[in-house]
Amino acid sequence: MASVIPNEVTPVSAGTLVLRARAGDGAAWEALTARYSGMLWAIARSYRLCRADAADVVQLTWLRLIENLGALRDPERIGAWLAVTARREAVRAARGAAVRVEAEWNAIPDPATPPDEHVAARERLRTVMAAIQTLPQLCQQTLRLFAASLSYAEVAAALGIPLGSVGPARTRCLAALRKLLGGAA
Amino acid sequence: VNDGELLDLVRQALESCDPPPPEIAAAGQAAYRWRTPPAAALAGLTRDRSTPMAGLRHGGAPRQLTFAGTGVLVEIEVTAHDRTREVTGLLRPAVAAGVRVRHAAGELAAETDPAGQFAVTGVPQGLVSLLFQLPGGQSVVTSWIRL
Repeated sequence: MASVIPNEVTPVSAGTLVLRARAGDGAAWEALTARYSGMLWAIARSYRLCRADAADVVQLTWLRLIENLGALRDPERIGAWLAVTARREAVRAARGAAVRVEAEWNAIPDPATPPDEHVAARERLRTVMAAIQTLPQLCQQTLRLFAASLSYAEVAAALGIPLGSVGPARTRCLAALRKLLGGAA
Repeated sequence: VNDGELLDLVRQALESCDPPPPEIAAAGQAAYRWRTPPAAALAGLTRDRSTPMAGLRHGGAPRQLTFAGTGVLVEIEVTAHDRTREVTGLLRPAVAAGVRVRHAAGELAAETDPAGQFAVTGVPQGLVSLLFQLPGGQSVVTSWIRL
């Protein structure tokens, strides 16, 4: 049997997906939402919105893209455009929800069969999560966004800070986290 | 651990403690149905007289919003009734037009009278956009807002 060769070996660029979606290709839109939903979630949550409000911000960001799909000047920069848009909507939502700032974290679920190494791994992640939460807000945001695989340009757009300060922030925040974790990391 | 490994730990911790709800990807996909006709004029929000929270706190005082696009203005007043919203409004220039109130679960239909006025009840709370179908095939769409 010949092996199945995927139709598209190289990933389609984000700009190409935007142009295809603009032309009416629903599958391209689906690919865009699959590619960026995690990023939008990370941005919305990094502004300390509760999960329901964060989901709302993600949806509003997609609707903003739908509104502007035809007018978008630089489709290849769609990631940064989405990041800026999500930041604006998150800031606006945070203003409306003045008191709902406490993030509600899920308890880390128990694996179906928890052998000792799973228990240990879970404890380690809990420790990491607790440490992240004691960092200053900008560090929490920076680490969260890099963990969600945002590019430097997207992180700058999501935080509304100059591109040149993203790298130093990443270095400083990772160092702060490493110090907090001490031997645990 | 190096930076990459540390970041990977952060990723794992967040994926365990705060995963994106599975429904957000599906909702994002579904947003494609709200593509506007290519010739539609977008009217962006230019004024919002009260925040949704303030509206609720003050016993459901109507919220007034203005949307402006090229040569078109849409003014609406929103009254909260529990989980639904009553929307009354004015389209300027005044013209008899079809109105489609688009929301997360579907859409509601209405019409403006010759003076450009319209009213819609039972609009679900949440994200909403109005689409006006003008005589002659033109249309005007308001940016999405949270009602």
